[in-house]
Amino acid sequence: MPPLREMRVLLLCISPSRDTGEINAEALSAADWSQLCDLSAWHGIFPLLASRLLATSSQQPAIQLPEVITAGLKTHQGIRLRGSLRLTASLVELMLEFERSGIRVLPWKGLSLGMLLYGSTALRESGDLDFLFQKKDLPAVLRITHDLGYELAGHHTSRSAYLYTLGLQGEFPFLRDQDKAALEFHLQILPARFSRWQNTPADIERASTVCKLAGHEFLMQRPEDMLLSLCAHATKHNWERLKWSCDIAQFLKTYGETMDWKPFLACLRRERKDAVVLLGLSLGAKLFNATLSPIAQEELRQSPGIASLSEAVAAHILSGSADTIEAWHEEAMVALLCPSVWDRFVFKARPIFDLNGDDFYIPAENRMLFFMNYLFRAARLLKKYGLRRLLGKTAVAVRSAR
Amino acid sequence: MTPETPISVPSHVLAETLNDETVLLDMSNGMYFGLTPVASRFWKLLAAGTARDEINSILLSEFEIEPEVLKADLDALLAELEAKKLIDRTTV
Repeated sequence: MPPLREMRVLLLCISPSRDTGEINAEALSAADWSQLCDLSAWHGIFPLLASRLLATSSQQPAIQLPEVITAGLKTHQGIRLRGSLRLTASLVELMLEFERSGIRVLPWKGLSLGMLLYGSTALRESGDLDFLFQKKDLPAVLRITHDLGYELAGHHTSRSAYLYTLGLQGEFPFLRDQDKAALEFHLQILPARFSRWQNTPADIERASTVCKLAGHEFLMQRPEDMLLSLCAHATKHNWERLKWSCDIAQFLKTYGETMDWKPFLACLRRERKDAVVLLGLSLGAKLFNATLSPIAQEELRQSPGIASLSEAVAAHILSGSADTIEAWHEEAMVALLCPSVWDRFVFKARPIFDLNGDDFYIPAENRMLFFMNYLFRAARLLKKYGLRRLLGKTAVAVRSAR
Repeated sequence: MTPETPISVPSHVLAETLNDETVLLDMSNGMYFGLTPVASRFWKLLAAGTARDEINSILLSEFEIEPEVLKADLDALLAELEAKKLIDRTTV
């Protein structure tokens, strides 16, 4: 599909490598405003678009936005400012409590990333707060969130069983009723079925980036870990939203020149995680003209598969289509995250073996007999599917892994 | 209150600015307070530690406004911010 005009305008407006002076009246006059706003909302970049357009129209008299659009953008900007202040207050409240309790929890993605990369918490779309933490700190996280009015989100009949299943996934969602503030605590940057990506405790230990928020300083991942986790997260979501490649372009603008790319990329190659980052870099360069280091450019030249996947993803985004990407793209993304047969087997098989809420006949506290729940799960699945279908499902998992 | 009276932003007040719009949040009561473009610029300069006299000169150079009107507006703004406990003014 050919690139949609509004997508081109969108890229022109939000690109970190261009300043607002490059947004010109001619490009904007041809745009369908309603479609432009809808697309930017779908791609998670409406705050950035609104801010850039309002700045441009006040700096360049030649650019006259329709009155109704200006009013809409201003309204959105006001709502966005209030929303991000509310989230910032919640974040600061939590981080100060974690500090007091002596546990290391890192803000992840969200408004803190907005502050680091875009210079404002309000410029990056985020509706909740994400954190990275270590399993040993779970009791403290549960206590502190509870004391601040948050409860575990999601339906459950047994708290201990629910905590166990959340622990299997490594993700703990919380919600506070009074202001609908939502939190998500992650043990790892990707769920447990992505077996290669389960070393986030090291990220937490070596966190060194300082984020200043509301007069306080908080630690975040070091830039290399941040880039890797942003790319992994976006790959899990097939890079469908422009927000994620915009983050990479903005990251490159902020940290690209100070990072030591050679050892970083060599380390990724040893860990077989390089393809995920190369795809992110390629999209940042293709969509936003982000500047890549010579060594990253060379690695991309030697990876034609990544280049063609990046081409396909960029073409899909530029077409303005909100349809899901083609199946082969999706399979390619999984293959990037799961480069070995074992990774792919775990990815396919783990949902079959992991316990869920229906399998807890023995409470999670009973450590002696807890293993029997796995036998009960096998029996329940046998009863549900029958031996032939269950073996068939397992065989499909093994085959697709190969 | 004189222009020399030190003004500070209390720790319970958060501020965020985009373009010429600033919103303040009083974390102690959850109330928001929006600032006009001139007030927004004033707040940014204030938060950056700029002296009141210098703020006045900067605002006069950036906005088409009479010095007397600016002074009256800023005095009214500061009185309102102080009444809402969004700033602290320490009389030496």
